[in-house]
Amino acid sequence: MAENLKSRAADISVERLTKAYGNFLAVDHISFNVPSGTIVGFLGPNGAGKTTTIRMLTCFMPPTSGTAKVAGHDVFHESLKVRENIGYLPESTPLYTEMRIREYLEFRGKLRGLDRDTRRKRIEHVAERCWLKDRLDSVIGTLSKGYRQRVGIADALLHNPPVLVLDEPTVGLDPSQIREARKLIADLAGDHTVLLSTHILQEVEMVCQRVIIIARGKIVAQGTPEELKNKAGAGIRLEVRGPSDQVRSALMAVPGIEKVDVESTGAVGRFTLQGKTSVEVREQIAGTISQRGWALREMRAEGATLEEFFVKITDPGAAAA
Amino acid sequence: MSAITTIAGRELKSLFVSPIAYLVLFLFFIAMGTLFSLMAFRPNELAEIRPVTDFSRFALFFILPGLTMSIFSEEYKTGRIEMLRTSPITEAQLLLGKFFGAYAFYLVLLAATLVYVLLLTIYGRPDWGQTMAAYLGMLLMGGMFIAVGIFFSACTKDQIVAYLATLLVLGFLTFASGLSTLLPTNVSLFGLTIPAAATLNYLGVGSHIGDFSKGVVDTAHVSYFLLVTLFFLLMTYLLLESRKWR
Repeated sequence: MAENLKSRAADISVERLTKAYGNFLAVDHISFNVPSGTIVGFLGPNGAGKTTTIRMLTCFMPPTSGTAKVAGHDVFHESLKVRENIGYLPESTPLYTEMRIREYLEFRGKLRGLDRDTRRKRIEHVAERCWLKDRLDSVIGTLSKGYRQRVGIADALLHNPPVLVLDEPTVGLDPSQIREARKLIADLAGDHTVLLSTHILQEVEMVCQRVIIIARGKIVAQGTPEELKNKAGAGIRLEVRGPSDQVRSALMAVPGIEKVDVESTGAVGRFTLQGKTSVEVREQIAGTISQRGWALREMRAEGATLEEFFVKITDPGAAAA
Repeated sequence: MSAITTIAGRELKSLFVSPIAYLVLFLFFIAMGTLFSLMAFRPNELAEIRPVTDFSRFALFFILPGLTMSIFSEEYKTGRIEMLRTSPITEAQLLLGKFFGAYAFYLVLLAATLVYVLLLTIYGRPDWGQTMAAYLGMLLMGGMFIAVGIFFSACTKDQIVAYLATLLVLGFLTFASGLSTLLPTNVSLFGLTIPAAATLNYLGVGSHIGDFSKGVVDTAHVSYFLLVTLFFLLMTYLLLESRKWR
């Protein structure tokens, strides 16, 4: 079953996808694209529409309007084909608690049309990758959340689908397991397309090649983690002895600086600059200040975090990017 | 086809490890056994299974819903419906799988009652045609009761509500024939003469199971059971499909 991914379309493309509940738009005409073989992080505050979007992609519910195509099949018109090509881990990891792990995976394998030999091999394989080998005969009801989570991941991987949709896959795992899980997911890149929905921003930074941020039903940002961090207002902090307003206008004139906030005035002013933080810009700032005869007491470039960007972009007061 | 057998098999296995199913089993055998020993298995009675099948509905109408009440409602409550609906199976396959799983459990129960037939053959000479017809009636009646139960289970995520709703409908169908004698033969409504008593009698199970117990297989009665079964299965299918849109 180890087919070359390039031989099968495995991208996700969504166009003006909408889910309306009466007049309320849970998902508001969103469009995005996940190229084959990439790992994309789906981020957003609670109630943003992440789970609703995921549920439309996995054919749990139909869209109100718009289209979504997974692995080349439309989720509305070719629902069965889409479901054959997706491995899905829902947020609630629903399992039959009275079954044993092996039984459950056999059941899932049969539902997916795997014949007996393939089932046996695949169960061995996913049990190995998800650290379930020693507990294959345990009753699911007796397992901890962490183990159940792994059963869910094993289930999603079982039929080696081209597309994986994982909703909060590392919730409930202990720190070492989280690390292993992230490694597992990162290893999937190239052979699988992965849509990962999570609240954990460092997970997105570590594992995802692209990020889509959704808030209030709309996409507010898309890009690589690096791109988004740069947009976040990486800043330069300055402490300059000189007249604040003149310093401010001089700084604004420096190319690459978008915004100058005056933190405090007086003989020595503190300023926060938004914009490019590259070395060239900083040297230019230093040059400008010394040319005008002011004293530069401190200059510090601060890296932005994805968290800052996330909070800013999903702030209810902010306009969509 | 194999999706249906996979789901049916899983459902059956699950029933065998569920405490409620054992309660159902226990009550079923108490009821059937009582009917058998008090009415059929007595000196000077004809060696026939007839009284058991004739009166079985009075026990089954409140026992079988216990079997079906959690079939869909548990899936809704636990969120497993999300796993099922995103699997590459159709709603029809899911529904039929669940139905056949529950029905298979019922078949096991019925098969165990063959011990009564065995006892009858030891002490008498039961008519095989009559016995087979009686069991055919039981098979059809059980299918109908289970279909009603599955429908109400798919209506709600609360098992108790599913049980009570099923109980109400099956109760009506069980007692309708008996109660029909209380209605006037004809009722005048909007200038039409409606045969009230006969209508209610026809709706009830009692007017249909009797012939099977006697040994008569009348297609009119076979169709009653099959049509009501198919009606409720169709309603369940439509319900499952419509829930996707909410």
